[in-house]
Amino acid sequence: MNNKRVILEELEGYRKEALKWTTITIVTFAIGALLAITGFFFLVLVGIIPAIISGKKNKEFKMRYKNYFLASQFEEVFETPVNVDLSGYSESKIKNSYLIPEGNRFYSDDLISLEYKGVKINRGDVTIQTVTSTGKTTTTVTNFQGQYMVFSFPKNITEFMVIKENAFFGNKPGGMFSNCPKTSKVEFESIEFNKMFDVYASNEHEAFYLLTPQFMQVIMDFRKKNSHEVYFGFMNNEFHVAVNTGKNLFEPSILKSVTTSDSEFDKGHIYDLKDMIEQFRLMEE
Amino acid sequence: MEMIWIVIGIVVIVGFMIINIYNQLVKYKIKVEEGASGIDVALVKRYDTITNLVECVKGYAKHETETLEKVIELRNSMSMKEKSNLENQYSETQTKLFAIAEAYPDLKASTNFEQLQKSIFDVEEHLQAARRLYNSNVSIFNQKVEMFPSNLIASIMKFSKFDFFEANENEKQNVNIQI
Repeated sequence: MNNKRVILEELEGYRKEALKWTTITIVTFAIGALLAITGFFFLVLVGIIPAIISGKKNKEFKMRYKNYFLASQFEEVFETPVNVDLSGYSESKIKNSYLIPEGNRFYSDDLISLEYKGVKINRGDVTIQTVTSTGKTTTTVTNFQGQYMVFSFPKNITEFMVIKENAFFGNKPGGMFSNCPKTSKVEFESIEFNKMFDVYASNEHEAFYLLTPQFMQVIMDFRKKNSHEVYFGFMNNEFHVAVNTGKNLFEPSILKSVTTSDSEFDKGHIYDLKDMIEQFRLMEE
Repeated sequence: MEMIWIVIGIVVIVGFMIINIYNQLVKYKIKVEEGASGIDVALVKRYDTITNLVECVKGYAKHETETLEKVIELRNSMSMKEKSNLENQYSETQTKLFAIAEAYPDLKASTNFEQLQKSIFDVEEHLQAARRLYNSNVSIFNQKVEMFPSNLIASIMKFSKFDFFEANENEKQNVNIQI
């Protein structure tokens, strides 16, 4: 408890430093902008130095906050050591899954790795956008923003399969010139499941082997419980789950004290992640 | 003159429709045959695991295993009904073997028996998958054979319905083998 208090106090110090320099930056730019009206335009540039310092301070606070909080909150729930990689997933990992929509801008952070009851878990935030510029205007469309999870799976997965929500024009993975494994659409016995999802698999037999009637029911229940678009993938002996929540979780605010952040920290997502292991029966039987 | 072109157009369209229907029937017939082949592969694996299990249990309980019926091997000439009966036999033999193993804690604790249990579970899941895939393709094919207008082409070209691979009674009741 004392240790936690010491860490929180230290973090609070970093937060206040970040807030101080952010305030200085804003004030300096504001004064510079006002003085620029008088003709001394270069004075706006005075704000650049505090902006650089503020950027560094904010980054340092964020890094320490996440390294402490994320790791400790996950360790509290899972009762196992946790590794935090702030750089998130690599772009190639996500792109080569052919699971979530593509774009020309990729961002990822907060990759948490742990092992729970024999199940390897990776969880990270991913944002994919398409930015188009016509010269006069720039349009940014967010194709995916949410959580991307990769689990080890108790069955042998030798082929490739993706499960996406039903789309009118179809949503077959990959394109004509992509390296995506060749897939065909698979229909199952459950009419409700076929209405909710499109399944594309490189091997029909393995599709039926992985998607048992019980597993299909779990997927449908998961989707009904979530109000967001969901994606599932089976590849390279991994089970991928992506949820398009529209949010990047665990982002700290320099405006809120660290003690308040700690007491308000919502562990809901972490408990949901733990529940998924039971729901999808990811533990070896 | 115009009438001739309209008639030619109708003939061409109908011709393409007939070709398309015929190709669909052939495609699903091949898929059914592939599915049947998948069932055969799964049944062969099941036979192998059952015979390994018999050998494993025999090492501990020779007398009890002698009373079991000989496990029949899959033959190419078997119909789908016969294969379904074969699967029933495998399930019954397996249940009896596990019942015998209950009386022998050393056998249940052996690594070989544990590994066989895992592989039996996996083989059963593959057989289930093969059956569901086969039945799915049979359902689509049989619908095409019965429904208009593909039933016309089917009867002219002598396509006939396939039998489903029925689940055995044990699996219908969701018997859970506890060791």
